[in-house]
Amino acid sequence: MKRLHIVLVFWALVATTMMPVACSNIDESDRLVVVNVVERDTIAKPDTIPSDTIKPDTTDYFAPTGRHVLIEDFTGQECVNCPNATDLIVQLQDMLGEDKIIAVGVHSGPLGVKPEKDPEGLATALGDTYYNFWNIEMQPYGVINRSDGPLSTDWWTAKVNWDLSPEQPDPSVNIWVKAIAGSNRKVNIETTVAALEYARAKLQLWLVEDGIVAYQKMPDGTKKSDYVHNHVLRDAVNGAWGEDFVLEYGELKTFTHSYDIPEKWNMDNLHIVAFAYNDDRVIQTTKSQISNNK
Amino acid sequence: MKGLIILLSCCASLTVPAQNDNKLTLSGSIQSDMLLPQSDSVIGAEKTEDFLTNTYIDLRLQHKYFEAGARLEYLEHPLPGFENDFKGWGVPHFYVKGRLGNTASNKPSAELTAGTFYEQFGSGFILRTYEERTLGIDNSLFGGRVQVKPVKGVVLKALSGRQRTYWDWTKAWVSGADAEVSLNEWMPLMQGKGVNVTLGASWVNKNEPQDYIELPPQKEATATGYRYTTYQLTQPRNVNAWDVRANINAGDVSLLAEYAQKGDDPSQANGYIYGKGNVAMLSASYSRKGLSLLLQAKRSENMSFKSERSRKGTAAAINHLPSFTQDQTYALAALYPYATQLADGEWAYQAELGYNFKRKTTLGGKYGMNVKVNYSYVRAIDRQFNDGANVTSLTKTNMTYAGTEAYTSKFFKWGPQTYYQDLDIQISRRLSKAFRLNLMYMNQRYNKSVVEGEGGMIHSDIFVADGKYQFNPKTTLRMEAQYLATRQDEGDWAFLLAELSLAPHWMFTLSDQWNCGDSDPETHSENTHHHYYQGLITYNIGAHRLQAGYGRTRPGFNCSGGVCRWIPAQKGFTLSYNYSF
Repeated sequence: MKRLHIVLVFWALVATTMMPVACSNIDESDRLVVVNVVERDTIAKPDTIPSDTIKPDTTDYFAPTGRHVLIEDFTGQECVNCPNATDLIVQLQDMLGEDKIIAVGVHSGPLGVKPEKDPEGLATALGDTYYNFWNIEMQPYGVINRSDGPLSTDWWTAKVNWDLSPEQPDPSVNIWVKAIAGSNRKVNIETTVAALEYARAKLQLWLVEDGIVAYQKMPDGTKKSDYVHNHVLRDAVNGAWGEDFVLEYGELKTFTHSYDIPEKWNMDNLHIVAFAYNDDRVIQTTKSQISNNK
Repeated sequence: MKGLIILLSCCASLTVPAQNDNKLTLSGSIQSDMLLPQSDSVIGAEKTEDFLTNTYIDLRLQHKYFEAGARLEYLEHPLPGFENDFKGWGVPHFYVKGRLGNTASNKPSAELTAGTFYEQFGSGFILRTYEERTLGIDNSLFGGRVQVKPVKGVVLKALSGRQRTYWDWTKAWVSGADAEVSLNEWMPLMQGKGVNVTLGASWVNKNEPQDYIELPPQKEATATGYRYTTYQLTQPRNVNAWDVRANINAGDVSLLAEYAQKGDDPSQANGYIYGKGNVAMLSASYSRKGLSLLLQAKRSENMSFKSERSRKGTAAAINHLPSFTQDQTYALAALYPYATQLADGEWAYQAELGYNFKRKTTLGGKYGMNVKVNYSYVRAIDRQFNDGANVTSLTKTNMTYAGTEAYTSKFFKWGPQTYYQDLDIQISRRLSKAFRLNLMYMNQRYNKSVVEGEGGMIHSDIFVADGKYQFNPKTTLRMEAQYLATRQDEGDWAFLLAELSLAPHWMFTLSDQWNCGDSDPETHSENTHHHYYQGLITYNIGAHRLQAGYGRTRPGFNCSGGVCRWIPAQKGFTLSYNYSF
């Protein structure tokens, strides 16, 4: 009986010591807490890129354009979980607006497929450059506004909402892009950066393409041959890491570039994604469709 | 490094006798695995750095009343398959222990540990911290542990600490207690009949701060459009788990019954669902001279238990569930290893029969023969999702069920999928005084979609012949021939190995693994027809072992006890040094 007493006293001691701090029952009604509600009037707002991203003659370059979020989605056609990340991007864009949430699919890494291996491959050496820079080791992973490092999709919603919240600093620059395609598949891109305060950063211009039909491994393990890939990173217009600029408050700077679009890419589905970033984060981003001026 | 080795060699002789039975001893070991990688576009091996190494130096100072130990790890340039978080070096393992009485005996004693330590309660269902460096696992706890044997037959343990993840410790505190009682110490009648009954009970608590996890926006129609709502997931700060078990040994028979349960623990592994986890296991074994039988059954559900709920991969695991499949040593038998499905759960069964045919019998022949048959079967548990969906993996649900209990499950009902099955028969027989032959046949079904995320069911037949011929007491030649036949995945594989041992110092090994077959082109087109060749020279002297080699390594999973790590393709010169003292 002595032994039984010892064991009972032991468990009584454990219970007395730990019970007050070890319980945390969460009522079923408290498991989910509302943090954000957005009402979207679909009749009033068409689901297209706002035309104000294309520079009109009367543009007020310094009018506040609000916060935007850049999601670099590290993805691959062999990655079975990657379509789930794409679905999440669609949900976020649906809620917050495609103009606010600018997504770029960076096909890369061991699960990305290079065109040299398969003609349908969408991975690029540029994508691998970013994949290696961010030390990505699993896919899908995302870098959101180039702050807080690579994140699994579990964190994307919170990060996007946080980056759009009023607690975040207002963007220090506005970016305006005017991209016009000529008859010889050459695109002329004029990018104007307007400083709302002192800004020392880099400007990055990317070409992304929507509506590419190519195969994709799906979450159930099957291979979908007619999967539609959107916002696929095709190339960088001004190098993998962009170009430096320093602007004082109230200053404007215009960058001009041109790019020869390969035959294989669908000109009608191409966009320019422009963003300014520094060592800490992306400070502003925008997306602009290439207009046809044949 | 050379200086350090000399220093350690000198220390090996450091044994300071204080009294006859009360001396101070220093022991330890060195393990260094090195790779000079080369790029090989054929197999997809990439040279990322000039030199890679995983190096470990363990030291332990022991005395009757105290013990101190530390481990230096150098993984600044880790071997392929070890993620970037491993990069670094330092002393992540260090401890001091104080003892009263002889803790190794059954007599009253006490032991107090401060620092990092390893512990297992029962079968490890709710707590198992251990080091398995080939898999990059070291989930030790940093804190304090006390073990008391107040009277004969009673062992009490209590501990608390933070768990190692790579070069840091998690924010969560893991605390626990365990009591184990041997009833036969109380009842002399049982001792007289050779019956041992041990009862155990454990409790583990994880105290982890809330993460700021938000669910994907939920969309509902309104009169003019849509309303999108984002929810934050409230997570329990404390997750409690308990375990009870009974172990009965009576003569040749041994029985173990164990049950564990875990409280609400939404995590990345289970898609952030609520709902209790549980595991139940029954194991029976019978063993007498020349015959052994093992029968096991286990059902587990929602038992992924991590000290960092959003952590992916093998790091930060608090518990461990055995896989109930054999860890295979032959290369092709280990080509498709099973990994326990902790979060989704499984029904697992294993039966193993071993029989030794005696010498000078019809089947035993002149030297006797050993036959071993193993059967493992692992299947999904029944899960009826509340929305009627057919979900096979909770991690792939995009947090659809986060914050809910997601499904109901009938305990004894199977789910629709087979996860793994193997039947393997091994025969070991000495054919002459100098020649021993091992033969093995394995029929395997491996659900690659479940274990690796895609690939479907792979059905393979594996044949192994392993012969060892001893030319003289110092010279032995061992040869392996293996063949794996399958129409799925990468198709057939062949493997040949020759190993010449020149005792006591030298061993020379040559092997090639060849993806020789073609799988069904309708459903699979993964055939590579690559050769993975390797040559090794091993030199042993005293407690030192040095191995140098060159070759290719196939990409694939390296598994132990149902825990796996993905190792990418690699090629290059390898050097491995081991020393213990």
